[in-house]
Amino acid sequence: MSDNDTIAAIATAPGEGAIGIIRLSGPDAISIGERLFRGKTPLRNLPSRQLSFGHLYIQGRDFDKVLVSVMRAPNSFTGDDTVEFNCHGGPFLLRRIVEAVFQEGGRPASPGEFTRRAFLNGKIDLSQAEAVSDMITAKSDLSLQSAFFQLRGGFHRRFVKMAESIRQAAMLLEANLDFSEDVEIDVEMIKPPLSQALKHIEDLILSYERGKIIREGAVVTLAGQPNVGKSSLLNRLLEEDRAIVTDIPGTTRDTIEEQIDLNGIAVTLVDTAGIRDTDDPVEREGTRRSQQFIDRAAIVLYIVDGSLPPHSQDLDNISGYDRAFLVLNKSDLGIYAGWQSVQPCYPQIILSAKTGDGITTLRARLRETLLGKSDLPDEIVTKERHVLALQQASAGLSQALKSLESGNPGEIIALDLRVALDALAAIIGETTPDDVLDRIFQTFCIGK
Amino acid sequence: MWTYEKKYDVIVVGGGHAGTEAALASARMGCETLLLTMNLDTIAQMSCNPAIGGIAKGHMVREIDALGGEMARNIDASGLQFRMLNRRRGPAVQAPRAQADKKAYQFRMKEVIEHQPHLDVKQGLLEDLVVKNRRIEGVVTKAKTVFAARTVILTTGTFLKGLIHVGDFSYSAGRAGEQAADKASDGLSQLGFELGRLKTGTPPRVNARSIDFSTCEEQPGDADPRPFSYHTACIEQEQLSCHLTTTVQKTHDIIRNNLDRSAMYSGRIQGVGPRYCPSVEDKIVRFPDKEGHQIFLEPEGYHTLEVYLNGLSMSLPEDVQVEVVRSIPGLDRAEIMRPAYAVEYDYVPPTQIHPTLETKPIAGLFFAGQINGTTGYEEAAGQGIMAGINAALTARGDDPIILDRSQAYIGVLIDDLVTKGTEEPYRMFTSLAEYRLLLRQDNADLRLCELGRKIGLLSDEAYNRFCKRKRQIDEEVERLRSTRLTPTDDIQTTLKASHSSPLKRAVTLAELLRRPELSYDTVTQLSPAPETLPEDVCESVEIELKYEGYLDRQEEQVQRFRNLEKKYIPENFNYAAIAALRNEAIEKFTRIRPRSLGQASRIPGISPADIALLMIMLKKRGASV
Repeated sequence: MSDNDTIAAIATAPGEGAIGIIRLSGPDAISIGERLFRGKTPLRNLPSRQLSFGHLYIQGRDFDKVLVSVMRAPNSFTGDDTVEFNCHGGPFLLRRIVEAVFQEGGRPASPGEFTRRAFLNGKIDLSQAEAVSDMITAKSDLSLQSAFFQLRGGFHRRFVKMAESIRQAAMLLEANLDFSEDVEIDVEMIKPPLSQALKHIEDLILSYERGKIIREGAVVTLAGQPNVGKSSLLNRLLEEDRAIVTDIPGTTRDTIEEQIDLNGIAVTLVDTAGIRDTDDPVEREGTRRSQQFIDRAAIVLYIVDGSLPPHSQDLDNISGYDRAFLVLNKSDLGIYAGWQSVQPCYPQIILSAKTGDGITTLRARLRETLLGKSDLPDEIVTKERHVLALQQASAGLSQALKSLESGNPGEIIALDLRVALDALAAIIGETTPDDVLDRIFQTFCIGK
Repeated sequence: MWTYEKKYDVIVVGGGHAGTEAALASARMGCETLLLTMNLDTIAQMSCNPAIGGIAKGHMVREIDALGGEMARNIDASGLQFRMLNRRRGPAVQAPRAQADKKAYQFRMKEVIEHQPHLDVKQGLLEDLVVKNRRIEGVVTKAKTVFAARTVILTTGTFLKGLIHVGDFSYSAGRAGEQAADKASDGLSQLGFELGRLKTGTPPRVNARSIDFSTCEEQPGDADPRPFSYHTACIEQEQLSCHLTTTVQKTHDIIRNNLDRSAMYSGRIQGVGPRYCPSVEDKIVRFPDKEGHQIFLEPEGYHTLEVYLNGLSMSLPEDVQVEVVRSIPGLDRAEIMRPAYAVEYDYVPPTQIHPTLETKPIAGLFFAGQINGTTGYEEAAGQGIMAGINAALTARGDDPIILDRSQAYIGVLIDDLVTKGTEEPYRMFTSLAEYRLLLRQDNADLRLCELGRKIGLLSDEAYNRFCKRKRQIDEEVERLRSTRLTPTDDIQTTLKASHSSPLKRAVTLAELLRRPELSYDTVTQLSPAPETLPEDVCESVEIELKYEGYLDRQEEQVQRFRNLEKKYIPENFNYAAIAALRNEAIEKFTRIRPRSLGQASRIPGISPADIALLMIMLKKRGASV
């Protein structure tokens, strides 16, 4: 891949929208744009960072009315000359315009290539580059919030603080090795700060699972016998979420996937075919696929007709899940008293898909289960790179604490602390000055 | 002007700890070498404390020995007290240290130099360098004699514009009573070197007759003194004790009341001093709450009564020094023989030299020791031997040798100097070494003897001794790995006596040795080695097996480190052409001219993003990355 040519892409998300943006970036961005754009002033004479009105011509035909902005190197996101056309939305129209740009000499940008150039041109650092790519792939509001948080540097500061307390412990350890004639240090005193840092890191690792759900969304599978109301519950959940309502195609013999915004979490609802033994090959295939969805579901909603007595097949199925809700549907018909004694290790929810009664509770409990109890994700790890580094840091710290316990020599403990510090430095994305000696000289009276 | 008839391969200017190692290395490699010193009577002079070694420093002495240098053998022959420091800590931070008989140390080194074939030693004061087309051609002495050479090594110590301070009295001198080299400093400036100013200090020496040792704590040497050199069989000389006392409140009051008369605190001194070797004024000002500071009373020799007051370096006037010294328990009637003083001197900030120790501006000119901003005899000697080796290789037209950070403390030292520079006198610490577990004092020979042999510094005798030791270690490690013990009553009893749990199944001796509570001695009681092994062999075997997991981890880290070290950057690489690079990074890369991506990544203030960018750009430009 060259980093010196001009790349172009539709910069807005696919799908219908009021406005779509086409972005060109690279040394020929302005001249390529010039060949398509006609306005009062030629593109090359437009001031930087200002919107101007004009027309896009494709093969001599007035194709669209647009607003255009020119950002000249190095004062653009990528650091290269950049042109952005704000066109009327619509996938077909945008596709046609970007193809015209390619014909004029632009190259289709690979995923993330604008960010890559921004990084190469020194406009952003590695952790910012990741945050930007998160923002682009953000699927919902909460995820956006988390991406912004990282850019603002709050995330950054937390890691710096954690590294700081480990470095302080490393300093005491080192003073005890290099300056054993000058200082007397009780190595025991570094245990509490290290344990505390370890706890913090372990919490962050746990938050990854939560962060992953915020960023990538979660799958919630609707399972149960036929005719218990799975499809109507799905419809009900979709109706609540009016912005995303679409027609549900297909048949309940097959699986249906729909996305809802569960108060900020992108949740994919999967309605599975009724699970039951059957000889019909089509239905059997449907059942097999149902099982696959259930296997990868974050949460299974096992739905039963609550107005009827439990079916023995239900009781079998219910005991087979560990992250699920038992949904007693058809509360409008009255709930059969025998369900009270069916108490799986997960919540039981009573609702009516028909009347909507209990749906709010279901949504709240789903969100709570997916994210854990705390409300806002003020500390969430979302990148795999970060969680890997945190796992290394955690391994280093636990090993160091174990070594302290078993009386291993200081230089061995220091090695494990170094592992933890290097792992954190990789997240922080900067070289932190190795100032162990500075700290020792500030803290202790060293030297004969 | 008179030009001496002989043209040398290597001229070493300065006969201190850097100069002597440099001259010996070059001559032992067969190069015609001249050691030029301003005073033949101060060869290998210990200007400050009468001791060699210490934590990290002792490591370097062992490395110098493994490469074929002289310092270790010299202290073994002239030491008067030997101790292994950090004995109760881990294997990587244990280090030998010895008090020296100062005069014996000097005389032996002078004798070795005088006997060395291919080495001339002459007295003369450096006045100027002969440089043509930015290449060194020789040196000029104050008497206007020209000595011609292919390469020149400067080891100027504290002599470049040396300025001594005792209170409000200052005079030009490199050491107390010895003239400074003022002209040479100007010559370096004219050649385009940027100079800096550093400071160091030394405490008073007092007569032992005037000390009341009964009030001091005695510090004897080790009962089983261990030699520094792999080639010294044992230490036979009688060991002397040091003594320990401490400053008291009265001492601190005297110092506080006279701070305005201290050269340090009255602003007379411009140079930056070492933080780890602070003057007593500094200690009292910076740590006012500390009740007392340790003072070590160190004998300077078997045939002198001079005692070095380690911990009492100062730049107060003589009348205050007497008061300060006499306020200390045991020293109340002390007679000072030499007063303490501070000395300021010029150095050349070491980012102006290559990792070979050759200077960037002048081809064939090498620097070693305090001129590069270091402090300490061992730091000087480590650079000295490398400068000697590389000047000799350069004179012969061969490729120079660079020790990397995973091979030796000497490698860490030089890499730090040329990559980071230094603004205070640089001293070695174990915490500066990333691969500390591998850079131990016990295995310096395993790390460096083959290299010393290849260079031609290690004699047949020394090399054979190394080969024997290595074979013994390898065979014993192999034996412990392959010998399995099946549980017997005897074994279980021995284990129980060592507070170790009984065997449940057959295990190898190596597995047993990994138990924290079991030592090599205990394990080999269960299954003795076929031959009696020397103590140093047992020690290396024990460390290799006991810490095997950690050592393997460090080896892996070293592999990753070497990958970046091998990614070379062309010497004429144009950093300014990388538009994306931050100005700060361009400026730093251009000034340091790192040899590899690895070295580039260690420059202070360089971020991983800068390195990622540099790596991509090198790839783009088709460099062999």
